[in-house]
Amino acid sequence: MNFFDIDIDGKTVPAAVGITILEAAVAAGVDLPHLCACMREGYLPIAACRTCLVELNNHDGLVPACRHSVAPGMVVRSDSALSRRTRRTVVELLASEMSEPAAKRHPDGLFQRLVRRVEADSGRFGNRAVRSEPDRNHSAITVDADACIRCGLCRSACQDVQVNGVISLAGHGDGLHVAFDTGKDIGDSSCVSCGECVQVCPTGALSPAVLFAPEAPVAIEYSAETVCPFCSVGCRVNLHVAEDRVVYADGADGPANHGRLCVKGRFGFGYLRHAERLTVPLIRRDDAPKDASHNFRGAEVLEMFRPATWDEALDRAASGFADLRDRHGGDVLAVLGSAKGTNEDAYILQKLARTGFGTAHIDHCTRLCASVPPLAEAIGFSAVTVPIEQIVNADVALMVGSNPEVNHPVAASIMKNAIRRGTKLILIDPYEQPLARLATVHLQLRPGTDVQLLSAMTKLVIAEGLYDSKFVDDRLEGFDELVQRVEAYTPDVAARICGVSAEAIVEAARLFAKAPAAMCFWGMGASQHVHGADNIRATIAFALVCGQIGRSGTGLHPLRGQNNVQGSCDAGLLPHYFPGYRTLDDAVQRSLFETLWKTQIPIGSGLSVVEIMDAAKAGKMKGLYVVGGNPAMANPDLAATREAVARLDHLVVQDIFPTETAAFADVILPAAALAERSGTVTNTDRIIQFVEPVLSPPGMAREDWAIACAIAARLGLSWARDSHEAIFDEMASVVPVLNGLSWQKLKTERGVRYPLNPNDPLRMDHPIGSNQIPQDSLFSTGFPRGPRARLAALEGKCPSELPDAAFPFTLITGRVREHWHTGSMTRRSDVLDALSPEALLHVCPSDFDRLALSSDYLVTVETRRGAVTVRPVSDQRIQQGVIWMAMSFFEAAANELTINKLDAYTRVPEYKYCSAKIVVNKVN
Amino acid sequence: MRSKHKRPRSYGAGGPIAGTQEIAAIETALLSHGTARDGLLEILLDIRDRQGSVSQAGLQYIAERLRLTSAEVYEVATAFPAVNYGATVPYGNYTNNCCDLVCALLRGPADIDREMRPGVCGGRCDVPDSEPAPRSFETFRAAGGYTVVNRLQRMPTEKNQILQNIAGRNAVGRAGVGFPVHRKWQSLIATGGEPVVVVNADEGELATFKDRFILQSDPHGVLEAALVAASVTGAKQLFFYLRDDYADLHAIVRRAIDDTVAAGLTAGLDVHLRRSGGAYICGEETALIASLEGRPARPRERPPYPTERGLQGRPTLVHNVETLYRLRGAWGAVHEDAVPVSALLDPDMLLYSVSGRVRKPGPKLIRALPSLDALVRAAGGMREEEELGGVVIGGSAGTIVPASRCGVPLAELLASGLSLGTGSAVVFGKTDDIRWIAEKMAGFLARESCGQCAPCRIGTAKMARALAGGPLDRRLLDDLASVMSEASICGLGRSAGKFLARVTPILTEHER
Repeated sequence: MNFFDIDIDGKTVPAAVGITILEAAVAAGVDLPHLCACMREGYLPIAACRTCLVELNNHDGLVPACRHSVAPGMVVRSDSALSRRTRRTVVELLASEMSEPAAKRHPDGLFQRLVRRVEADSGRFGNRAVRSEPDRNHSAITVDADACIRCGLCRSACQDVQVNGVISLAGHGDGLHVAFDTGKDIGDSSCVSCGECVQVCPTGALSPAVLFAPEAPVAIEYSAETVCPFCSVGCRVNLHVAEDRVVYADGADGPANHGRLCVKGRFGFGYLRHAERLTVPLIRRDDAPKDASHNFRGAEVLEMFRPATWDEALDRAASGFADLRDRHGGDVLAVLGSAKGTNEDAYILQKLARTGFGTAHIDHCTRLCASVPPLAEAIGFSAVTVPIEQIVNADVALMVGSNPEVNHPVAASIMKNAIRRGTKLILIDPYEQPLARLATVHLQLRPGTDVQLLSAMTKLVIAEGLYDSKFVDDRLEGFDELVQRVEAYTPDVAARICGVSAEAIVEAARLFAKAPAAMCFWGMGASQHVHGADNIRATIAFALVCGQIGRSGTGLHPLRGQNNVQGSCDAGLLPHYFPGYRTLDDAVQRSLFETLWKTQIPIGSGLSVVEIMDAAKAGKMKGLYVVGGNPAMANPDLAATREAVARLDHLVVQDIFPTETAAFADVILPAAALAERSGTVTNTDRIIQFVEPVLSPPGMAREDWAIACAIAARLGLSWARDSHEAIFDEMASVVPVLNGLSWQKLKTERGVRYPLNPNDPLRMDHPIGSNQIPQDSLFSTGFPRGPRARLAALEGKCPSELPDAAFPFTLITGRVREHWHTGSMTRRSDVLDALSPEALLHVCPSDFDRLALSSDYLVTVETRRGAVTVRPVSDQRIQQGVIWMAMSFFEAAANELTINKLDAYTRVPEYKYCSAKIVVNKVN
Repeated sequence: MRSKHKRPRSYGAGGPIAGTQEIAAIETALLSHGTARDGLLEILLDIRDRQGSVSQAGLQYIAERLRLTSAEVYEVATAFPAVNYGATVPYGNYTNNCCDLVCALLRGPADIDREMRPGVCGGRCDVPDSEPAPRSFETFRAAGGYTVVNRLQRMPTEKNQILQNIAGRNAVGRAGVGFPVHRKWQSLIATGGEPVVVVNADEGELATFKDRFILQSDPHGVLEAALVAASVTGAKQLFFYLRDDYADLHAIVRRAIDDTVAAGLTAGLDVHLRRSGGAYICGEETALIASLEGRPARPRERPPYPTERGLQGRPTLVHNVETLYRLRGAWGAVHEDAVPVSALLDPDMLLYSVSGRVRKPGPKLIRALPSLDALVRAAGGMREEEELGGVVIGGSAGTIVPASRCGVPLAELLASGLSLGTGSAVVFGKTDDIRWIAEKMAGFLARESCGQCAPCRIGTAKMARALAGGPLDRRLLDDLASVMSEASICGLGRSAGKFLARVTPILTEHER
């Protein structure tokens, strides 16, 4: 890049070719007045407010600094008489756009500060007459149209940055106005409440509804950053606090989100001070038997317990485990962690299980979605090979079974930015999800037919010679077997099986194979099947024969679910790996940990989440320590799960809320939420981020790792007094990808992408290659497992429960944008719960009409495992014969219905396929 | 929480569903214009022609078919008056066919509010008795028309010669800025890529009808020049962007295009006839380009110039009708008596649009006009019992020249800064109030502002209100004039500022 100096208001400022005057000024700390220019990533100059006009040495008249590029020798004057006079008049004109009462309602907005700064007379051109009261009918966002100065920032936010396309500047002349959809009220519009517009609105015309509420605090006391707990994107969020609660949130400039947030990350922090937060340790009352007949929640759960001191509760918790261990051996104990905790929590928990409990049965909720194991099987690396942001360098992106608009909204915004810049999207998904509108090809296949579709695509690129033969020769094994496996799948055969056109299959395959750079994403739509691993293997095989890995804009990206899935797995919170994915049955690895931990470690791999419950139901598992998990809501077939947890002799639940699982606990331990603690979390892009507490934990609640240490102490373990810092540093010493990282380094740098040096920390005896910077796509020359990736054979399973006459529908479960996982946090965030308050059964219009359904009447959905009562809605985006439900509503828990069948390799349950029927009851 | 949850009725589109009749109208429009975004305005205008205007549900339906969001479609539908969105009366159902200023002069202000629709006028200020019949394709060819196109098809090397001739004639744009034509063409050629040529026939300036006169008389003259421009610049696409309100011209231009296509003159070139959206701003070249892309007609800041990055990022040449027509001299076309408008091939010949209180309003071809008095005389003089009050020269942001200055040699007026602009002249009488005329001009500018940038959107509205009544605050008006001319994005706001700066002293003087 070409650098030179320019002069802004007498100050010498460095500038680079191609940047704007305003960018140069901001970078150099020169505070040029501006309004409709937002310097954040994705915002383009609007240049409509005309408040950043400056004079130049070699140019007649004024130019907008936000849009005008720098040039060598440029002398910029924002303080010349003409510039100042013009700016002041422009600001005076803009001030006349607000009604007088509206201006009074928003005295401290960015615009009002500009009015004061340029000493404008805000009444000089009069004020707009009062036209409307603020629209307070939306739970998250209040629209005060009378405060709008029509600068267009909200339009940019919605159209260019988040690409939700809801807000426009409609009309013309003085009739120009901010509109939602086709001129609807925001509450009736398709607004997804990401709140990007609220964050950038300079006047308060769009503001968090909470600021208009009667109970709104007078002033924000302080603001501090944490990482959003709601998904694996790992957005940094700035929480504004008053009276010991979060009033509202803004996106902070994190490495993954660049200031963006989604509805959960912006409006979902109400749970932190929800009345049902656990604040004291609780012990089960003697007169409260464990009742497996149905789910209990919240206050109902609390009635079954009595408060206790930490000492009493910890003694009870620890001695329960110690007794069972001593009587039956460690094998009757299990630990379920959570991908919502920190890396230190995960590490200490598996260490406690392996050294204190003497068990190998240790797992966490990543099991319920795990989409990485087939990737590890293929290349020997258990993380994404390429970060999401690289999609901007991809010509084509293939997305299999993922709905990021809903589940990873900020990542979706980055994908949509790339699509707008020319990346072509191939979507493989039965649902016509929001991204379908932007897709070049949408293969809307029948549920459960992914393997056949991908096989046909693979066969086609091989048959047409479009595959990367050099890559296949040099870097793959198993190609011949693959050729045989896909042999039968011509486009026509696949078209018949999958219900998509042969032409579309051919088009998609060619598009991907011919792309100079193509990326591949997959999600839970791929993994949550009994053939989930096969779905992913078929995806990986297709991508690898096309050689789409190891270059910029290429690579494999399983979109992880929870905020610390990556870190929890890295830390070894898994039944079949030591920390760092070190193999359990390798004597060298075992001795490494036995030396480090100065104790013996149980031999062999343990049971997974669902298998632990099966063992409990069979009476083989007797003690369970659940930290942050909620199997009584998250596992498939809840009736059976409740029976299992109710049978446990000793259940300790450690959480921030009395969850459905806590209803079966013997001891409940109150934990701190992520925003109340320090630690590190690792996002889907392998960025490990440092967080510090924004609030104190309520009451007596403590950080998870500290509670685990306290239990360890009672079990007589020597490491129980380890500090937070020591835990991380020990973990970094045994987890290869963390090589070179330390607590101190992270504390200083806040966020670091690993591996720091791709060739070193994986401890390979051959180079794996990368383009120098870890942001780029890994594995340009080799793989962690060796020089060649392995195209694994498939197991060839079909969905385990096909529709039949008795249960004619295919039930698919998933999530809604506003709620996360079992809803224990988001359902307790008042804004989110108001936006999405009830479970809905999505039915395609033809089935909806055929069954004469109405959204006014609830229906019962029944499977062979259970039934729930739910409100049906007609959804034209869904296929005939398919019904869809979100998993997050305890009132109609979708997992009462789901089937307990696991993928043999990943041990992920088949959440995305079982047969069901709809019973119409006509009850309101 | 304040809000009560609204029970969803359906997922996906939501809201009312378009009726079968409207869906049929939309599908018919899609058959003609395709489902790409750039056809959006044409689609909306087709539906307007079929059923008055598109409904909210119709917008939703179009959005789904074009794979746009409903907000994107709504934004476009509401940005163009011609789409008639939300209106209760059919578009163009107005009796005056003419802008409010001239109309008011002719019919009296009382009629205006009742009869005028908001929007650009119908360009019928001249109310002519008889209109020229367009020269047919055959007659045009017989007179040597299109031979240059055939020559270029056979001998591509001719291109350089034509470019040189254009440069030699010092041909400049006739839309106000006066930029040399050959430099625009060269810029287009230098940029490379896939150039586009656009004929800007969206004549929207107040009381201006010269382009209509040219097209009505000699449509092939314009088309020939456009084909030459396309050939020389290597364009593969030609857009004829015709003012929607010039409904009668559509058949003429359509016929002219069809004839050239049938004669094989457009080989290798896609020619599209597109309608404008009924707003003055559509004639601004970047706004015009935006509307051809199916976006709201809102000007974009330059640079980059359209010749470098225009329609869909491609180098784009936009010329107005008069500019193109005059270029024909560069390949040898000469004045023909049978076709009066061909007098424009003489670079010194000017075409005035004269309207107002004159006996014979209409297009006037005059070489070396001595004074504005002479222009009034050329239009048959003042109507009976009316005395000259003055002339508004140059349209909405033009200059009010009082009668006392109309006898001054035009050269002197031009030297002292008068700009003829598009050559429109609205003649008013002694009894007409100058302040009222200024208010009408300001009202036109305020109504036609696209609304995008603050100085123009708010400034023109404040200007119109200030001129409408009450004492004139000189300092405030000066600041307003300055901010509009210094800070607006495009020429509309800037010229509005200059207009206000010119008119304020006249009005203050007048009030005294």
